[in-house]
Amino acid sequence: MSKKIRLLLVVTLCFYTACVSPVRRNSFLDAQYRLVKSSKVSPHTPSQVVKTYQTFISASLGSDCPMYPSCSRYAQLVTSKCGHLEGVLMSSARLQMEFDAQIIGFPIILINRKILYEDIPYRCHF
Amino acid sequence: MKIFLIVAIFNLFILQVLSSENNCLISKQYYVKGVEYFQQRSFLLSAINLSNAQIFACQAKERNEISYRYSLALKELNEPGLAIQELNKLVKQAPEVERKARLTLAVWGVSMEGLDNLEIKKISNLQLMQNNKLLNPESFEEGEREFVTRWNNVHRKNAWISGIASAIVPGSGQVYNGNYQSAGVSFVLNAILLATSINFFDKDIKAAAITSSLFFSVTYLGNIISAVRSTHMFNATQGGALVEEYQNNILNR
Repeated sequence: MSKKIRLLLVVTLCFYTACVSPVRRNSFLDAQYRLVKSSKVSPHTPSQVVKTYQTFISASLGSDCPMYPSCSRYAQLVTSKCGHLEGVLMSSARLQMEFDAQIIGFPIILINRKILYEDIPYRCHF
Repeated sequence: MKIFLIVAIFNLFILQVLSSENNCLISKQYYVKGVEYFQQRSFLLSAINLSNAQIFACQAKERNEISYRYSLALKELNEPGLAIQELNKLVKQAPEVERKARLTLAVWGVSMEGLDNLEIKKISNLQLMQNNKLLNPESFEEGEREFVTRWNNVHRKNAWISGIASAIVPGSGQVYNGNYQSAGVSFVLNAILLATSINFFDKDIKAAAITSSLFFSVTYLGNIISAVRSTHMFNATQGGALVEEYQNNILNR
């Protein structure tokens, strides 16, 4: 199959899947409020591990998490709330979901002209 | 002296009337703003404005209506305890909004006290919809059959299928859900880690083999969890509008 046809196929598939799931828009203020209420640790003060990762590793990798809260903060919040096992598993699951966050149907929030997808860990699953 | 006192009392009375008229206007302005923010889904700002409207409300009827809307905003902010508290107060003290408050408590799954048989039936149907179950058209009235057909025809995916597919081939559950990028990432990540673990085991480098196996187990289980979670979210998104429509129908909104 030629490159153009392959590209067209990918674009059509992405458009189709994007059209399938209607997306809800939430307010950033509400998302911050819900995050603060649902967290045992302060969501505005990252732990040393998360701070080190964000300062050195994340910056050098150039990664830009499209989720709110960011994946490193999410890992810290879930670990503190639900334990290490669930923290590790849920963080791994989230890393594998974030590429299709809009198709999956996470609500969107707008921060400084940037679209982020809200995924606050309200409760523990295990 | 007497005239002075009479004039002073009369002036104080006029001031009270004027300031209470001002309060009513302020309350109305906060209420309008609060409702506007609620419709824009900015529930924190809505709750703040409605709470201010409550303070300045001059009639009990208005205050009760504002309280009801305030409780709706609190529920959206993930404060169900406070929201239920507000509604319970309204059920006891506010006859004008008592029916609405009871229906809202039933819709939230708190209690079906004080509802008639038809309302209880509607709430039970709503609970079935919230659990993503199919509805039986015979338990609905004639006029609602079309709604039932729409609900039963909603495109759903089975979480068991996506979970088992992801367990067999990492990424296939995500393909079933239509999440192709996530599927690609899951497949590649799990394939690399599995291949690395097998390679290290073959070369008898035990420490590295165990480490990469641990990483593989985390990404493998994470892949299954992400497939199941995205199926649940897909189902919630597809049927969400109909659930909201039925809920608004029950609450006459």
